[in-house]
Amino acid sequence: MSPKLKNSTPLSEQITDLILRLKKNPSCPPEELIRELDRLALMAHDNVPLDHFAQSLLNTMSDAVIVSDIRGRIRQMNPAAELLTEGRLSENRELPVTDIFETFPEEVFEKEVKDSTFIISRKGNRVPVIYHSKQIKDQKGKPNGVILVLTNRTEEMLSEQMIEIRLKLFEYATDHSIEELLTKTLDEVTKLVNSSIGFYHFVLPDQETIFLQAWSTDTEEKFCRANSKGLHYNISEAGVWADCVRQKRPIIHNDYESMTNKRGLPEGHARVIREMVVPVIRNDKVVSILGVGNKPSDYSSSDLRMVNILAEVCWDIAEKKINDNLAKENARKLSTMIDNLNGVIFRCANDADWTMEYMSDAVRKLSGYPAGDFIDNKVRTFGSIVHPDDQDRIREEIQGALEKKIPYEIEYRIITSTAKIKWVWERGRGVFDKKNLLALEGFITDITARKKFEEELKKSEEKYQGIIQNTSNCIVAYKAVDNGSDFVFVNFNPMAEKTENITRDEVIGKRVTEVFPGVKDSGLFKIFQQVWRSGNPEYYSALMYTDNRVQGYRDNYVYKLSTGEIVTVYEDITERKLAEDEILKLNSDLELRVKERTAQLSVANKELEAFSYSVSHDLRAPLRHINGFVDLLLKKYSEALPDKGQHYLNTIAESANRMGILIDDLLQFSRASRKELKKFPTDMKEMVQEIITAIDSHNPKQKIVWKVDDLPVVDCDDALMKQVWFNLISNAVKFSEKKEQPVIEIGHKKDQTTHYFSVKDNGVGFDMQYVSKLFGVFQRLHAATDFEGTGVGLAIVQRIIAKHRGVVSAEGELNKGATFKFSLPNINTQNNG
Amino acid sequence: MVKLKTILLVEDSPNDVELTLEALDEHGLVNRVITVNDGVEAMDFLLCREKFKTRPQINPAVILLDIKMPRMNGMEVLEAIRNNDKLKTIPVVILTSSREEPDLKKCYELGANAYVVKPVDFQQFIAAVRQVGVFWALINELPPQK
Repeated sequence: MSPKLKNSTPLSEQITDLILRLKKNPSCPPEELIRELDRLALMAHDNVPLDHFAQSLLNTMSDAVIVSDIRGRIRQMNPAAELLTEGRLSENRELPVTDIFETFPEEVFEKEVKDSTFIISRKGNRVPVIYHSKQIKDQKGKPNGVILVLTNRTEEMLSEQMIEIRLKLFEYATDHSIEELLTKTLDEVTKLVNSSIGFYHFVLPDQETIFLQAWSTDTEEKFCRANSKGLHYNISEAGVWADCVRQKRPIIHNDYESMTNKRGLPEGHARVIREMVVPVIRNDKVVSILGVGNKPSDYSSSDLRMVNILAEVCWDIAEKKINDNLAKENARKLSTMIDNLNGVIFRCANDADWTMEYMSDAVRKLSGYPAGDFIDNKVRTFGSIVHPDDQDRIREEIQGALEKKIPYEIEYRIITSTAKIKWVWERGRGVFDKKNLLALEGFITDITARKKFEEELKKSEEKYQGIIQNTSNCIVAYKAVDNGSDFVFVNFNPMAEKTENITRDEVIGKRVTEVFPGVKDSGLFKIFQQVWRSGNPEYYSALMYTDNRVQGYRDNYVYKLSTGEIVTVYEDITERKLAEDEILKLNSDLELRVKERTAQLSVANKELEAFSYSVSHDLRAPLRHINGFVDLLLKKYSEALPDKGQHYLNTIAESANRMGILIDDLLQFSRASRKELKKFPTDMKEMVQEIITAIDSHNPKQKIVWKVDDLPVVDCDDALMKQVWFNLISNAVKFSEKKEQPVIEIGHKKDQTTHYFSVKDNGVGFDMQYVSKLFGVFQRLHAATDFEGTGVGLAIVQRIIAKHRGVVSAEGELNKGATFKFSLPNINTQNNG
Repeated sequence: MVKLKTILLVEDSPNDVELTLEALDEHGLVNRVITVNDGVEAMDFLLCREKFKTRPQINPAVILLDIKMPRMNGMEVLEAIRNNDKLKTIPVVILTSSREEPDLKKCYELGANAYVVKPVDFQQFIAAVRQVGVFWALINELPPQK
């Protein structure tokens, strides 16, 4: 319907009618309006005064109406035109209409024009408009002015721009990060509202924390060097712009500098002149804020609208992107999870082949075949890789579970591409649609290692069970009950049955205090509790157990298993214990006997000493007397005796002398045997030299050639050792004195454990067949008439060396000399440093 | 006048006494030998008691002391002498048949001045006794008596 006016009705009515129609239909096209106004203008031009209603119409119109005369001077403007040009009619009247336009379309005076252009307001604002011109002609048809109807396009352009930016941002968001998107948005916004600062913050749901998310490129480059991207900080610490979060409404500070409640800006922060911050609210909570700042002029409501729209747009895109990212991430995670899952996920038909609808790629690792092989049985069926021996069993189990509509768990073997057998575990369930089974879904994983381990465990268990059954130790396991106040039998091996004279069946499940009432008295029970609490093994030795049924000694080793059970490994040591006791008794008897013997021996020794003493003292005295008186007889009465008589006396004296020597030697031998060794480091070289010197000086006529090795210091009893050397050397001298040139060699050798000494002469020697007699007491190999001596010397040597844990030996050959050797342990050779 | 130096021979065996005196006789020392038969008598003599009550209280120049004797043996005598202030400076020569080491050791520990084993050979015996007698009775100067 067009708001045509009827010429017949009075103008005021017509205008009223027009206004009413316009109110009913505010979207009335400008052309229609222009036409009507045209008519009204004509009427006005024809000096038909605009009546009150016509004036009202013009005043209420949202479009600006400017009337110019033919010279281009402004004659009329309605209030909308005043608003648009930011000048009053009174100020503009008679001013050139061209001044209002950025570029004035001159053709409007020639013809009717409809086009868009910009007007420049009195305040210098550039406003996009659509203009519609119409010539005004006088009654003769001669043009005398023009009427311009201007429609402000700002809004329209803005929404166009918004749409454009929106599209741009959507497009941008597809291949840029959220941060980049925010920066891009801010760049657009700041350009749009002519601001040098732009920021976009996310606000966490607590409404307390602002998450600095993005700054416009300009802001980042020129202003906010306070590097705070991504920083969380509390709104209470934020600047006044954060009021928009607190109050959930846009904030405009066109007088920021003069504000008193602003916070100090951080160092490096841009100087703020004015700012505008708008919140994005979702579910009554601020989710983000977009702020701009430092526009050269004040922020207007249209700025607010634009910023608002873009803040919303930006949030929507960002949120969608976040959600998309999340969805993508979730999808990726799921895929990764499936890929990394240590097992195969499947969905298959409940048919003979287990035809696969889906199978995760992990099946390749499991079977060596790609998942694609099994999907729709393309290359092979899953059933074909199941071990033939397990086929029927798993089918039975699965069908059973499907009937009951419960999940199933099965273990079976598969044969891999390399013909290996692997054990798998499968858990699955039927997927039902009301009544019908749609598919089987489940999970298969490799349990070969576990199976192997189980088998080994079984074997090892069998082995240990074997050991437990057959060991000669008693092995009993208990479980603690009543928090360790008693123990119940869980195992009892055959040896324990035998030892305790009770069967396994009789004890299992019973309390130890019930079966073995004596266990508490024995102290073992406390050990059980101790081990059960501490977990540390205990050894409880030679425990005497006794009750009415069994008694005996037990050697117990008690420890705790990782399962918490207590195990005792023990032995019946009753027999051993008794044997030990017997041994102990025998030992003490033996000790007593040794003591007795020692006492007896010591008595015997004392007696022997007394005997020796007697021999030494009492036996010699009569000899001396015989000797003495024979001598006196010879001296004083020899003349009275015939020669024969003198000879007898001489024989008596000689015999007595000889007996004296025998007694002396015998005593010496006895002493050598009885004497306790007193060992000291003894210089053999010095000792031997002393003896040689003594012998040489005793027989100055005899020229003996001595060849003596460098002799060591040896740990020995020096008095006895001197006797050894003296006996051996004097022996050598004695048996070589008849040689023209006696040579006596004294040698020494040693190894790590032993010193070897030798005394070698070139004398009469001896026949080796009598060598065994050489070291016997009173054994002589030569006639006493040839060589003096009692036959005790070498026996003494042998005794002394034996006491030193050495060995004597002799080698000889008749008339070629003899070598006597003895060894001594090389223990302490403190040899001359 | 030279003081009469006496030799105290403590010997239980009459044979030994006779032989010892024979040996000492060679140097004319025999007259100065006083013989006692055991340790008890020896102490009586030295302390001038019992049958020696009347003898002049002069210590012998040397005591020739046998070890093995009845009643009080030589070592007991030696110990008594060394523990007696009046007697302890008297030289004591052990004249014995024993060559046993414990005897030797003990005698020296008790303060014997010499230890002579009586040789079985009489010539050697004479030589030994004579030397002992000559040394201790004639040559050796006694420490001054209190």
